[in-house]
Amino acid sequence: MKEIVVVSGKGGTGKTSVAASLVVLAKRSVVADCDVDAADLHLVLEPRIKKTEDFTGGKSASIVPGRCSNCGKCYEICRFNAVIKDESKQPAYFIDHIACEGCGVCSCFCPEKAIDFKPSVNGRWFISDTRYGPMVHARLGIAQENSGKLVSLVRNQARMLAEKDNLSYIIVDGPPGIGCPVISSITGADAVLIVAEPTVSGAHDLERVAELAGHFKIPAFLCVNKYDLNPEVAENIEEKARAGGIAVIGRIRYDRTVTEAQIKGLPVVAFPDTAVAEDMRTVWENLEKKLNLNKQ
Amino acid sequence: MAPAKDKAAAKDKAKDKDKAADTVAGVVAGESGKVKDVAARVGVTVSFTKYQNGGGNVLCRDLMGPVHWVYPSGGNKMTINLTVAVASGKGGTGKTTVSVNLACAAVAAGYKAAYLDSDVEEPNGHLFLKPRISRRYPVSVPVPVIDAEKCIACSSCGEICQYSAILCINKNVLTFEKMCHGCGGCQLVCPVAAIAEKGRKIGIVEEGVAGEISFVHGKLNIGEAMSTPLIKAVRSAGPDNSLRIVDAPPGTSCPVITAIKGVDFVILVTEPTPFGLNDLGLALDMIKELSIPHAVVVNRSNPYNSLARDFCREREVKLLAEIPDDRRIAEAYSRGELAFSAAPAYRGVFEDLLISIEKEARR
Repeated sequence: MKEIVVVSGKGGTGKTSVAASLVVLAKRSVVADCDVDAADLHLVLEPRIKKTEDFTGGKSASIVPGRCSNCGKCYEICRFNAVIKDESKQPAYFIDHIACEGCGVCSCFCPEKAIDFKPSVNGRWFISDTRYGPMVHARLGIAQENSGKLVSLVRNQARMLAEKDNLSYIIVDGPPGIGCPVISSITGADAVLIVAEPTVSGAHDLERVAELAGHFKIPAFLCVNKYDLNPEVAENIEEKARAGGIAVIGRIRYDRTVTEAQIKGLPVVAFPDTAVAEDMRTVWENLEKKLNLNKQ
Repeated sequence: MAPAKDKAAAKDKAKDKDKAADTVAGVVAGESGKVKDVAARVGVTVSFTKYQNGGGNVLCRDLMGPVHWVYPSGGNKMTINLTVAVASGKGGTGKTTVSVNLACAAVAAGYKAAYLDSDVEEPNGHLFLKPRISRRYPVSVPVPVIDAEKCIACSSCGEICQYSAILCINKNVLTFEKMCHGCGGCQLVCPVAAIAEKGRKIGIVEEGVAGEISFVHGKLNIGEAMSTPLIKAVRSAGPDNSLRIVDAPPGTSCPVITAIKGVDFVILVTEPTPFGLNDLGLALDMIKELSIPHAVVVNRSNPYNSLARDFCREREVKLLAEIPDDRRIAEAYSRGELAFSAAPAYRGVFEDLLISIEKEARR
């Protein structure tokens, strides 16, 4: 079993469109949407939800009004400015749940034991069926923390499903950036597929995400999406990638079919006669070849 | 017909218009009557916007073309104290395009403006603004240091830590610095004062100028998961008393919230696609939770696609501007050029947006 994570560094380069097509092409696969705070994959894979669970990622503090003596200890020791002081109110202190990082220090040091510190529900996750196989996805609660933990959970669930059904691939749609949820999405994976766009921003962000993959010693592959928007920059990006030891496995052209597929709620390869679908197939074939070479 | 004559006439008219712009520019702020007279003679319409500092800024609009801003007299920058964040649920919708061009429109309009790139994972604004960096400093988070001599291996530190960043095993205390949020709990709880703190670098902040725009951005170290302290550092840098434009990271979780918390106004950039609107919906939910005044800008818009317009109507959110789906803008972007200079026809879009934001933010 191989786990492939689609990442980009820069947002909006086409991760989800590429991932959705890979899911169709990989056939015996399970798909995991790890962009848990702006998930879109469900819009083109039509999942039928079979199981929904709450995600409890951490704890959250709250002041119990009757017990608070207004001593201000919590206000003094909180390093996240999550204890708000308002002397017109009784008690004069309350917790800003958006700023609270769930460290529990206020609760531990409150002399009146007036601060509750309980597990909080930070989101939900789902196991679904799609036409192309099982899917694990999630939704982080509004303005919630712990996206990294939720990403790990989604990946673990996907792995369990793949093992149970003896599937060959796990396709992971990753989040943008290079921070906490991206790190959670790629650590221990078999390969990352970087989808880049031919812009100076795309080139810049590719370097950072490639460096991240290198940092965690994960083999990286590149495809430039919408390459014909600026072929010169596209070539530049590919050259840089090769120099950094990243295999270039294909180019995807700019095509309105991608947006149309989105509007119809389908993966791009569901329109098999289009040139862009052909590009996606080439990307997958090359990726599959390279992955199986690595195995031998 | 005499096309040559027409051309000459048109040329003269254009000359007159230029003259009008010059004349208007020379007029001392406040003398709006004179400006109107001059403008009426050459057939341009003029509108006036009153600003808080009492000075009158003159906006001279040619009916056929873009808006021409007129600098206030004396070359003094107008002061304004407003922080506007540019965010979006989905990545790649055009946050940076809107932010950098808005900063350009602001200085062209005579404002003091600052651009703060808080997308510290993938900062891109510098590629367009090409700033001269004058100051560079690291940002650190506090992490525990154990004094093994004093430690009595009571394991209180491991018990209070919610992030598995400190563990007490077999009379040894181990720290995992990258997991640490820097809450200071272990230090407070240690009964023998065996825990001190040191800084762990997570990235750098760079400050400088790009033309007349004050520039700040943060760069997160590769492999670093802790981005919010760096975002906070970017937010607290840069000049006050200016139009501060915060270019936010994508998404709807901690990094975005840190970037936009406490700003005066948020612009949510979207594109008229199902992905764009799904993520705009999530971003709207987030922003309601934070209760910050906000409005939407649609990028890559075309007149025949009403998805975004319908969505905004349905969700009762104001649509401030639409940036057309024009290859010229996309190509300028791909080369690292500003639409404001590479596609001057679109200056008006950003200048109008600036006025709308001001109006909305002052409500």
